[in-house]
Amino acid sequence: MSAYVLGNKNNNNEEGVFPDDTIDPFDNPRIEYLSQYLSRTQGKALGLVTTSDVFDATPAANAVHTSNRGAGTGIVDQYLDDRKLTGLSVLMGGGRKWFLPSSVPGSARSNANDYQFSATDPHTADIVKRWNAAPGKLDKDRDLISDFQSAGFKYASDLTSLNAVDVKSTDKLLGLFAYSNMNVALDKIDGRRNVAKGINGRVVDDYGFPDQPMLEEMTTKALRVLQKNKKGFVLMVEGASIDKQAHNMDTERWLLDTIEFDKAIKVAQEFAEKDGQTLVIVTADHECSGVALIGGSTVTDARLQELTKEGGASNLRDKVVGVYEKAGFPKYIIGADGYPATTDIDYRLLVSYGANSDRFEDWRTNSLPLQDSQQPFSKSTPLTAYPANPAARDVDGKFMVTGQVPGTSAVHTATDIPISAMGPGAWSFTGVLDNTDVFFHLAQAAVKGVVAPNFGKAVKRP
Amino acid sequence: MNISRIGQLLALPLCSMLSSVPAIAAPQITRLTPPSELFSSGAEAPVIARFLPDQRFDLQATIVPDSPEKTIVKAVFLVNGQEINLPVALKSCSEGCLPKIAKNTAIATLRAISQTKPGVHNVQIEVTQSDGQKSKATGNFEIVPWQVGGQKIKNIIIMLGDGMGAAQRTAARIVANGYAQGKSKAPLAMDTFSCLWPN
Repeated sequence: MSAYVLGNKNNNNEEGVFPDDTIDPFDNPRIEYLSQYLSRTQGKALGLVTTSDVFDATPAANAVHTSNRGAGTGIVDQYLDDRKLTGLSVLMGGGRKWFLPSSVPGSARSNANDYQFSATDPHTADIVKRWNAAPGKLDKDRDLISDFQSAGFKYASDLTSLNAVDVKSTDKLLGLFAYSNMNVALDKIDGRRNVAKGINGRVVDDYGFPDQPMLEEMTTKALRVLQKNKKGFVLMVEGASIDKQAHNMDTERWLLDTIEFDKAIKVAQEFAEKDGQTLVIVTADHECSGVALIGGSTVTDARLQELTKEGGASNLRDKVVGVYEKAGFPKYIIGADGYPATTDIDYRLLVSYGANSDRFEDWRTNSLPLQDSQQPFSKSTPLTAYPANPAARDVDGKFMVTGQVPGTSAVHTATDIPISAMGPGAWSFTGVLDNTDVFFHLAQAAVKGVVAPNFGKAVKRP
Repeated sequence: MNISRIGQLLALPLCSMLSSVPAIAAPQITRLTPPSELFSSGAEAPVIARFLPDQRFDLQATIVPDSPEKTIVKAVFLVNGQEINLPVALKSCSEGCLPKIAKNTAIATLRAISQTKPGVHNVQIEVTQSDGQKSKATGNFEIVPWQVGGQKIKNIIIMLGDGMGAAQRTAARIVANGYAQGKSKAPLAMDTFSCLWPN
């Protein structure tokens, strides 16, 4: 993410800074973000919408300067305290645990991951003086939701309260829909379908947040608030758990999150088509897990369950995996809510992983996601019932796929990723781009106007 | 043997002893920020750090004195040979630096500077040690020029699919919309964006 909004590469774990030789993660040499530059020079507002915990690296690497992506207390404090630098007006996602005073159960606030610059030592006092940044405070007992509200942000805690926000009277909006990362699309939809049937939603109920919005609902509201700013806005919308579930090699969960992300893209596209002055790009920070669409199942779901009982590669691989013409064309029936009625269809799509860690594979949808260690209650029931890692589930089928990476999760890969663009200036995203080039194209379009490339010549880097 | 010859014999070993005394050291600059190949390897290209005209960033250097009892007393930053006329923050590593860093190391920082002029710029640090010895190091960065453009964009929307590569998009298309005799029945919304390039 950071390369797209800084024009510069950051090391792993860094957000908006260059490396240094000090221990303090908040004193690193800073680089001005796109949001900060456009807020300062043009008065643009900033919106950040994600399905992850809002402290997470993708949203934070649009607004916060730190060399430690895990320093949650300082990160969320900086969102509010430096809102005049970034123009932050909309912040939505999970991550309520960082906003609750440390005495409240579930809070993750701690002075150990917070910051406070010196009033006298110029090494950090100059950050305040020359960047006009807030000095920070070691304040684990801060009620950050209340402070956001005092700063003029309306607060929504679930879909119901999000829908109730009156846009006419709202210029700033904070939404925190889970303690840490929000539940994924598959589990949220399962919750909504179960509620419609009058029964509990399982995963979302276990997590304690039965009424979480979908990403397109968050995006719709964000746009309605942001578009009121006459000077314009920068909005970053993240489908965060495509990556998180790809790490877990949980095919159906990252796949439905990609569908959810696409529905949010449709909202942005419709806005841009109507508006005529909006540039929309769709991209990724990197690929995760080396996804490979290897083929389709040659058997029904019922037969697959029988083969799981018989077990082993000779059954679950050799009698199931259809490649080339044997893959067929998997047909998923889409429900009225826009998601597959079931992901356990006959002759399903089969996915394998090139950057995999050890896992057992039985091709069927996992009823529970893996444990998320960032959830504050992951060590209490009912969350202790969730499988700990990919080698701890689907074990009965005895089909172990040996990992090519050590550890318990699939990893990011270095392969190129596609970038899609629409709106005025879309054509400037030509040729194979370095991710830092994206920053210069976005800034050019906003500050000096769009530039048509010369398609007759080799592409020049900015 | 006469005295002049003894003198000659004695002179030879003295010369060879003097030539084996090591050269006098100087403070070492171990890091210069923004990072550059010019500083790391001496190569002027590729330029690593690029900025917009007037985009703010910090200059910083890590400076190690040549022996434990010395300190760094002065650090000055120059861009294209011109001294930046702002006070440099000099921090001692007596506390707060990484464990492998010597305690008399200094971190020199100049916050929130920017450059307007397009092109590659040299950045230099000149340091003075407590015994008067000086050292310098050079790096570079680039200011990417504006181009003359047409319509200005009012709003930017970045849709970020974390971890979403091409295969993930294909899989979503297959499941969401299906295929008939090999043809996708409907595109995803992201498939209908006019431009698609590798990145």
